Amino acid sequence: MSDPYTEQEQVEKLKQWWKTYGSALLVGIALGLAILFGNKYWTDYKQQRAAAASALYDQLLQDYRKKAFDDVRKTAGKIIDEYSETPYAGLAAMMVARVSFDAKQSEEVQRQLRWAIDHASDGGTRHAARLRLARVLAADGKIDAALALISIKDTAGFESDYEELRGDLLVAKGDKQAAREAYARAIKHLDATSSYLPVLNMKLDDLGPETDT
Amino acid sequence: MLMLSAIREKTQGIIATIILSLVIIPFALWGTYSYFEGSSNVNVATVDGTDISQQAYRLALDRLLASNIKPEILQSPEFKRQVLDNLIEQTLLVQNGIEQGYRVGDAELARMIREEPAFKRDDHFDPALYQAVLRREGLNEQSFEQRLRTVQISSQIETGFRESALPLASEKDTLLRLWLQQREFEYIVVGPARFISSTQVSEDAIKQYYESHPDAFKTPEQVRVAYIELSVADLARDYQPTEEQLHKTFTEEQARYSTPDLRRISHILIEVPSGASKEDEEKALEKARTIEKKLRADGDFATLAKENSADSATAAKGGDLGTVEPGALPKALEDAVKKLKPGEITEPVRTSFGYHIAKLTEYTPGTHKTFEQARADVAKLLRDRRAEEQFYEKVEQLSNLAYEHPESLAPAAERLGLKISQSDWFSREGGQGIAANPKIVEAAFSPEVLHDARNSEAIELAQDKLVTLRMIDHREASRKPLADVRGEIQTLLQKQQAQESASKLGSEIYAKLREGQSLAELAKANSLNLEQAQISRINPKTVDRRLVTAVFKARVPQADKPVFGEVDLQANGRAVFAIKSVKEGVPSEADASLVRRAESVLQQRRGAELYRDYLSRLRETADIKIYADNL
Repeated sequence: MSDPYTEQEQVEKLKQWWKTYGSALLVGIALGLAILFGNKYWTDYKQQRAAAASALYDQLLQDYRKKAFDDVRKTAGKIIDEYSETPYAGLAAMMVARVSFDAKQSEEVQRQLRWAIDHASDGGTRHAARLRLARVLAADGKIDAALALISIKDTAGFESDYEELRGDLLVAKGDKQAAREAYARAIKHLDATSSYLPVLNMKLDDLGPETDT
Repeated sequence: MLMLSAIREKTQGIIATIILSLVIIPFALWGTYSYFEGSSNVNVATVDGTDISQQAYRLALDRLLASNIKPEILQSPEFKRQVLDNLIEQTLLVQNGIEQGYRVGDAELARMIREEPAFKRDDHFDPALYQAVLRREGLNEQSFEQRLRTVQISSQIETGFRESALPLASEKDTLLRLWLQQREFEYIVVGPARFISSTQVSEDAIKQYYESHPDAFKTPEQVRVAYIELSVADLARDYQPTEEQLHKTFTEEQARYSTPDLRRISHILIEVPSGASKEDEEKALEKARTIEKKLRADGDFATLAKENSADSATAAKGGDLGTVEPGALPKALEDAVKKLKPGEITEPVRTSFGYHIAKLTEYTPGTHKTFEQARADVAKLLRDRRAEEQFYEKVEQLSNLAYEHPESLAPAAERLGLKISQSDWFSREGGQGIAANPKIVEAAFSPEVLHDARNSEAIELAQDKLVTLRMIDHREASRKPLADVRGEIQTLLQKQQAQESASKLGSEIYAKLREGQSLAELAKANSLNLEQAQISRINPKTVDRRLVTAVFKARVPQADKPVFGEVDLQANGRAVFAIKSVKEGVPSEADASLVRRAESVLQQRRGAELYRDYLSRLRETADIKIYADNL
């Protein structure tokens, strides 16, 4: 079907092509494989660390159930020190805050919650810690500090809790009208199936009607 | 020429290898799964780029179908939506888990599976049982383990959020203060009852009401059916077996008319392993004889059994084997035991296990009926068997006859000697008697019966009961004529009028109250009861819920100036109240159960509910598309 000359020519062309681009192609393939395997290795490594932190966290919860609070602190410390990039570190800090709360160590409670707000990798955990720290501050009488702490834009999912807290803080400051509005928003954002609705209504109702007639 | 083509083949080979390996490597690393999944599938939703296939959705629905949920509920759009929501939530959790770095390691997963009670047999994890359970649930191992990981991750987050809630005393006090706040007030209720007699309802008003409510006063579509019931219980009632049959059956079924001798036995086993030497055999016998001697010298059987018996399961119970029926023991032992009277013991008896010494602890002799005693029972047995045989024959015939003569039940009834019964009227909601059975209702309103006026198929009501039916009468859904509902409408309108009058009087009283008259005077002038109340939110006593809400929503009275208000109580009329004083709640006065309640309400809100917020945050920040048409 083809004469030898053309075949000869084709092989020559291929050789020429290989000379010009061959090394570039090999480098490209090697680089591609390196990235592929490197990425795979990196993912595996991260997964391994996450699994290790997860096992430690399960241990922590078991210790908590057994009321072995010193062990809770120890395990949490390990997760926070060695696995701070995993989401378990934030949860561990919140657990230590709880244990410290029961031991009446107010400074430690605040320190742990602050760590969670600043370092927890999971946004949901940061919100939980922020809400809790603000309530702790309010209980200490630091209303303005609490209000400043919850003045953030993104409250997705946690709107009702933020608004209820804002309402509580505004009541403490004596700003009834603003408190009413905050409670009304808290009710609006409340999950329809929540059993907490009567409590929010009660807080709102206790402020009395808007216009005194 | 030959050489050249060889080179060409070789070069092609190299290029092909390179291309192929470039394609293969990704598959080797990640599997083919993610490349093909979803490409040609129909999807019900997309969550941040991950497709939820119609297949996955159907599977979830099917799993619920297998459970005991009613089909109507399964078909409802709300339910379908809920199933989808659930799938979306799971997908979100998986995505979030991966993204945020939550993970359940293989070791952790293995532990969870091993500890799951559903996969345990005799307190130990059983891999075969694990596989069997998964198969039954229609899951493969991979997808089950994936789900388990998801569940575990959500539980880790949930537990963390819940348990780390801080129970602040100030919050608890706020709640108790509001719950325990007391409001003292007086009130009157203007009820509609006193206005009923003075209401005037014109014919025109009744007619107008009837005409302006076209959907009210309807009766549903109804049918009456004729049916033939075939039941084992009704068959062969007059069947009389012959004397010969009775005798034959009595002999064949001896076991039905007698009970065996029952013996309760304890034993002590001196084990002789199979293939034991003669020496060991003799040693065992000697030991057995020693024990026998001790027993005969009033030794305690239970104690000796505990100390000596090799049958460890019974030794602990003093050797008790429980009650044994004939044939349950090795032959040699059974023969020896048969000779005992209660309290006696056997000599050592050799069985394949070794030497036994047995004691008869209880003996209940068996009973044996004579033919005459059993005669009635035997006759009934034969009648029942006959009825069952006839039933299966007749089921066949009934189905055939009802099908061959679709226009009437008479041929089937005549041929089978069954009677045709009739039902009362019933709607799709069911009715009395046979129409109480939903299967009957379904058949009666099936197109063949309702529209084509044919006999229904044979409907199996129970294993031994069958019905076939046809419609004999039909009533379309209709509206009751005005004459039938006149009284009903009149009463309704009277109530409405009375309610309006009560409302009007209530509002007048409220206006006068605000002008300065006292509620006591106004009550007296209108011959109403002046009620006094002092209640808290947590304990509103018997006061109408709507009144309670209004009173606690009202302002707090200042300097002895009462606060007034009115409330619409709908069918109960109108209430007017005057709040005299408000006493703040004192948290320290709360009883223990109320304190616990406050704690649990707050724990729920500041703990578990935060996890729900966590989930809704995932939803709010995710890009979710739902293809409702594919549901």
